[in-house]
Amino acid sequence: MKCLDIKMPSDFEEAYALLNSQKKATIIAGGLFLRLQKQTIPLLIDLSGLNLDYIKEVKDGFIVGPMTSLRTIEKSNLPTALKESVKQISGVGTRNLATIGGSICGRYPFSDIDNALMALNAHLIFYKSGKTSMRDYYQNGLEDKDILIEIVVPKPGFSMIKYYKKVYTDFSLVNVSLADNDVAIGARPNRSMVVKNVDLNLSSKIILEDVEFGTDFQASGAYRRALAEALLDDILKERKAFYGS
Amino acid sequence: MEVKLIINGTHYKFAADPDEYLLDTLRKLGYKSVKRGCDTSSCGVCSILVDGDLVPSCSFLTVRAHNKPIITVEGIQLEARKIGEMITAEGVEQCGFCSPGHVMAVYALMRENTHPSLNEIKHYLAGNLCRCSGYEGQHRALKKLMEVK
Amino acid sequence: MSVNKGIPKVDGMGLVLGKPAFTDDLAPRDALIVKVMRSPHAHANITKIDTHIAEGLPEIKCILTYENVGDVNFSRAGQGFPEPSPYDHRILNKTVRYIGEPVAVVAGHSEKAVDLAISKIIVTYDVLEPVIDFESAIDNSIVIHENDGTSSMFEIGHKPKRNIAAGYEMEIGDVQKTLESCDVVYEGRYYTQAQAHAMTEPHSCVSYLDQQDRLTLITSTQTPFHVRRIVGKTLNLPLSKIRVIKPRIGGGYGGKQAIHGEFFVSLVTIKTGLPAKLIFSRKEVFTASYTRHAMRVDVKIGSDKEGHIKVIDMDILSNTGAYGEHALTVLMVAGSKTLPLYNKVDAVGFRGDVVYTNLTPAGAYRGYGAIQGNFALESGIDELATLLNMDPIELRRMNMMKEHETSEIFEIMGEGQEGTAMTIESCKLAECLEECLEKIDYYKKLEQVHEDPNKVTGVGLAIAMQGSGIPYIDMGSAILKLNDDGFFNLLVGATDIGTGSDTILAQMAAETLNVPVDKIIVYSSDTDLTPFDTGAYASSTTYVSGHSVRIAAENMIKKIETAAKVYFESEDVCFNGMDITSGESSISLKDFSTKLFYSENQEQLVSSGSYVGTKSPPPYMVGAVEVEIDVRTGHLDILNYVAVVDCGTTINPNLARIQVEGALLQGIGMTLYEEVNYTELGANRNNSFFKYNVPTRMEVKAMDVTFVDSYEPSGPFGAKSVGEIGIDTPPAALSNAIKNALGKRMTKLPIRSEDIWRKLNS
Repeated sequence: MKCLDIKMPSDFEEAYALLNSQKKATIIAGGLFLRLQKQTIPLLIDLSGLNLDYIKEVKDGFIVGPMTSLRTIEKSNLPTALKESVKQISGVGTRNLATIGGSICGRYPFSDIDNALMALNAHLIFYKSGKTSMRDYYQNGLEDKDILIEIVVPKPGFSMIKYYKKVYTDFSLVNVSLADNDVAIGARPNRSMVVKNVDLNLSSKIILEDVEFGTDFQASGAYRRALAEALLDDILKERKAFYGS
Repeated sequence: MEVKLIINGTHYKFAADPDEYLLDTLRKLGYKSVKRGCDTSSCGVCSILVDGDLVPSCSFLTVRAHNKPIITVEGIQLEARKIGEMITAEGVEQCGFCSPGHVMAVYALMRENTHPSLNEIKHYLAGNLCRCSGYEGQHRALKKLMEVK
Repeated sequence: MSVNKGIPKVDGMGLVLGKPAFTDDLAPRDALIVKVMRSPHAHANITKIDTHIAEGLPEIKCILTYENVGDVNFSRAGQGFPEPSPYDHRILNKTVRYIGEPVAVVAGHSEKAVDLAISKIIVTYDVLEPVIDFESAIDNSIVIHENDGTSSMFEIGHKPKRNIAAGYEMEIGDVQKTLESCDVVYEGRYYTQAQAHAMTEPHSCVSYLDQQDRLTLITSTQTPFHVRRIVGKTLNLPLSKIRVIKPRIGGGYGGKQAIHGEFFVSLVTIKTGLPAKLIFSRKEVFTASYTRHAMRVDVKIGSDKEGHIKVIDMDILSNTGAYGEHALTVLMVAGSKTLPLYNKVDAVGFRGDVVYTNLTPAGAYRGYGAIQGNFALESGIDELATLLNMDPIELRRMNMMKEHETSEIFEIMGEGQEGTAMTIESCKLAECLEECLEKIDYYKKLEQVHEDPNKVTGVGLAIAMQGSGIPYIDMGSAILKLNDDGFFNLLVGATDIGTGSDTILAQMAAETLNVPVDKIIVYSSDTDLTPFDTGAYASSTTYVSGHSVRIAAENMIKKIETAAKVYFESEDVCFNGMDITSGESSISLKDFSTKLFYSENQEQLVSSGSYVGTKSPPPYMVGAVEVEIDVRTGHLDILNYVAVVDCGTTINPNLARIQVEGALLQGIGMTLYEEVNYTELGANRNNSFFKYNVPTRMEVKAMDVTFVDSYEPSGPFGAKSVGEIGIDTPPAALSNAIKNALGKRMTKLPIRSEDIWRKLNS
C-alpha cells in the first residue's frame, strides 16, 4: 500500500470532514486488506482515537464498536455464530489487528463474519445515514461515503456457523450460519444471502434449493452446494443437541 | 511524520513515511530478528508485540505505533532462551527463519494462558507457518515447556 | 560417543534468539536496492525497451536490460560441471518465456525510487502465443527456444525445435515380450503438479566489491561453489576474483539449488562499484523462482498369477517450464530411485521426455523425481494386487529389494549419465514394513467400519527409496585446524540450509577425534575459506561430506601423533582425545596445542579430507497413513501417519527425525493441499499464501516417525543420508488409503476433497 498522508481525528465530525475532503480518502481499520491495494491512497483516516473498541451487553443483544478486533470477538461472549466466525481467520496476530468494522465495510463475499452477521440480522449505525440492516448494507452498500459507528447484534436462542476450508487458516470455500430460523449462506463464491423463517424440520437440501452456488477455480458450484448441505446438516445436529431432542 | 517509538524499553524519535510498516522500521533500527516472509500477512515470521498484543509487523503502520510499547525477540532474550532450550532440545529449529516469530507467539501465549492444552497451543500458533519441521517437534517441545498433561 | 546423539544444533540457540544471520540481516546498510521488472506475457519478443526516463530519475544508479548484459548462454542449475542441463538461458533474454521472467533490473538508493523507475520503463512486446499445456508441447508449431543459442554440454536428448529440453530411455531385458507373457498386467496414468517449495525465507542475495576489488556475494544458496563458477564463467571473470559466502539459509528444499538473483546484483555492483541487494517478494518466489517438475507418469506392471512381478515399464512426460534446469536429472531419478525397489523383474523399461512450456521454470525439489515416480509405481502395486486378488503387502514382501541384492538399474542410470553398479549392503525394508504394519495396526484398520454412517476410514501404505549422493560426481571436503587451548576449527564446504549439517559434521569430527562436540567450531560454505563441496542436494551431506570430515579427523590424529613423537622424543605415543601419553609421561591436548603455537617445535597442525562416493546406498522407508473420509463432502482427515525409516546410523536422531517429519508434511501438502492453477494465458493463480495452501499445524492429527536399527558399512559411522527420503511416500500411501476406504483410485495430484467427492458421485 502506498499512502501520502494519515490523520487521526478526535471526533466523528472531524473524521467525516476528512473523509469528504478528497475523493479517494479512505478509512483505515485493521488495514490488512488495504495493505494489499496497488493504488496510492492520498489520505488515510485512522479511527483509533474515537474509542470504538468495545462490546456492551444490553437487554436483548450487544452493541459492538466497529474498531473491536476479531481477537476480542473471539474471546467474547457474543452469539456463537459470530464468535466462531473469527476463529480460523488467519492467525492470532492478524486477528489482533483486523476489526469487525473493516470486515463489514469491505462487504467481502468470502467473509465468515459477514455471513454470521447476516444470519443474526445485525443492524448498523452510520454517522450520517443512520440505522440500516446488515442485510441491506451488505448487499447494496451506501450511496455516499459514511462512517460506521455502531453494530447492533441481537441475542438469538441458538446460533452457529460452519465453514469449509482446505487448510485451517484458509478462506472458506463456502460458509453457512444459522440464527434461530434464518440461514445465511456465503462464499458461494458470491456474497452471503439469507433464507428467512426456515422450517428446520426440512432437509438441508430443500432449505438450500433456491440458493445459487457458483463455480470458480477453487471449487465448482455443485460441490459448494454439497458442502453447504453437509455443513447445514451438522449445524442442525448441533442445534438438536443444544435444545435436547 | 515524527513518531515516538518505544522498542524493548528504548525510546526513539523516528521520522516515518505514513505508509511505512513497523517491519521495515524495526529492521532499519537494527532489530534483525523481525523477518519478512510473505506479502499477505499469512506466515507469522514478522510477529512482534505491540501494546501487549501479538501482531504482524508487516501490516502495522509505524505511525500507528506512536507511544505504544513494542517488544521484539531482542527485548526478551531471557525468556527466549528458556523457550529456546526446549526447542533446541528437540532439534526443531531447522532453518530458523520462522523461529523468532514463533518465540514471540509462544511468549504472547504464555502471557495470556499459563497452562494451555495442546489444542489451545496449536490454535494459538496456527498463523505461524513452518515449512521445515512438520510441526510435530515443536509440539513435543511446547508440551514440555508448558507442562501439558 | 558423539554420533547417534540427539544434541542441540550448534546454531540453534542463536536462531531462536533472533541473532542476525540471514542474507538480508548481513546486507550492508547502504546497499543499493535492486528490483526486477518482469514480463506480463508468457511468450513474447521484446521489440523495444526504453529506459531513458527511468535512468534520469533521482536515486537511480543502474538499469540492466538484455541490451547491456551480454548474450552468453548458460544453465542456472546448481550442478557439477559439465552440467547435464541445457545452456538455454541468458542473463536477460530478448524473448521472454514465462509470466514473471525478468525484463529489466533497476538499482537505486531506495525502494520507492526503484519502484517509480520501474513504472517508467517502456517495453514494447511482440506478444506470441504461449504453450501452456505440457501434453501439447512436443512438436507444437510454437517453438519456445528458437535461435537463442541453446545447446547442451553433452548428449542429453536436447531437441529444442521439438520443445524437448531433454530425453532419456533405457531397457533391460525385453519389456514388450515379457509383458505379453504375463498373466496379469496393470496399466495406469498418473499426474503430479508443479509444487512450490514455499520456504519461509524468499530468495535473497547481496554483492559488494571488497577492498581488493573482488566481487563478493552473500547469497541464500544451496550451492555456493556452483554459483561462483557459473557467475565467473558467464561474466568472464577469473574465479579468483569472486568469493561466495553462504550465510544461514531460511529453507531451500531444492528451490535454491540454482542461480536466482546473483547475476543481477553482481552486474549492478560491477557497474556501480556499490553494494547491491535483491530480495524476492513472496509473489516472485511463487511465480519467478522455481517449481517442482509436473509430470505425467504411465506405468505398466506385469506379473504371473502367483504375484511374481516380471516386468515394470515407466514412461514419463515431464514439464520443465520455460527453461531446462535439472530437466534430465529429475526425469531420470523418477526411475532410478523407484524401479530398483522391485529388483526381481525379468525386464524393466524407462523412458521420458522433458518438455518446455511457457510456465515458471521447474528445478530441483526434494525427492527430485522420486516422489513423482513413486506415486505411480506404489499406486500401481496396490492396483496390481487387486487384479491378482492378493494382499498388496504380501505382493511387496515377495518382490521388494532385500539386503545383499542388487538391481541392474544402478549401473545403467546415474544422474544425467551412466550409473554405478552397487550391491545393497544395508536394506531394512522388511523390518520397516513389519514395524509399520504393527504400529498402525494395518489389518485391523483395513476392516474398520466407522460408527458414523457419513464417515469411512481407511489405511494405505507405500515403500520408498532415495540415495546418498551421486557416486563419482559429488565431492565433499573438510579441513581441520588445531588451535591453542585444544579446540578445532572445522571448515567444510558442505551447505547447511537449516538441516543441521554443521552440527552432524561436528559430531562426526568429535567422534573420530574422541573430543567433546563443543571443541569443534564449524564454519561452512565460503568459497574463500572452506574447501569444496558440491552443495546441499542429492542427499549427499551426511554420506559424502561426512566421510570427508572423518578422513580429515583421522589425518589430524596422525598429525598430532607425529608432532607428539617429536615432543616426547619417542616413537611410542598415544592420543586419546584428552591427552597424549608416551610411557609414563602425558600432556593434555590443551597444553600441547598451546605449546605448538608458542613454545617448542612450533607448528600449525592442519589436516584435510576429501571424499567422492563410489556408491549411493539408498535410505529406505515405509509409510502408512490412516484416513477418515466424510462421504458427503469428500473431506479427508489424516488421523495418523506412521513412518519407519532405514537410514543406517542416525548421526543425530533428533535432527533425522525432524528431517523426516518435515519432509512428510511437504509430501502430504503436495498430495492434498497444494494446488497450482494456470489461466489460459499462463498466469499462476496460486501465487500467494492466500491461494497456495501449505499445510498448517492443524492438518495432521498425529505423526509417528521411527528409525530401525541399521548399519551401512560404506557410510561414515554406518550412516546413510536422510534429507529427501521422508517426502516420497505420501502420494501413493494416501491414494492407496483412499482406494481401500472408498474403492476409488485417485491418479492426479493434488487430491482435493472435491475430486474425492466427484469420484464418489460418478
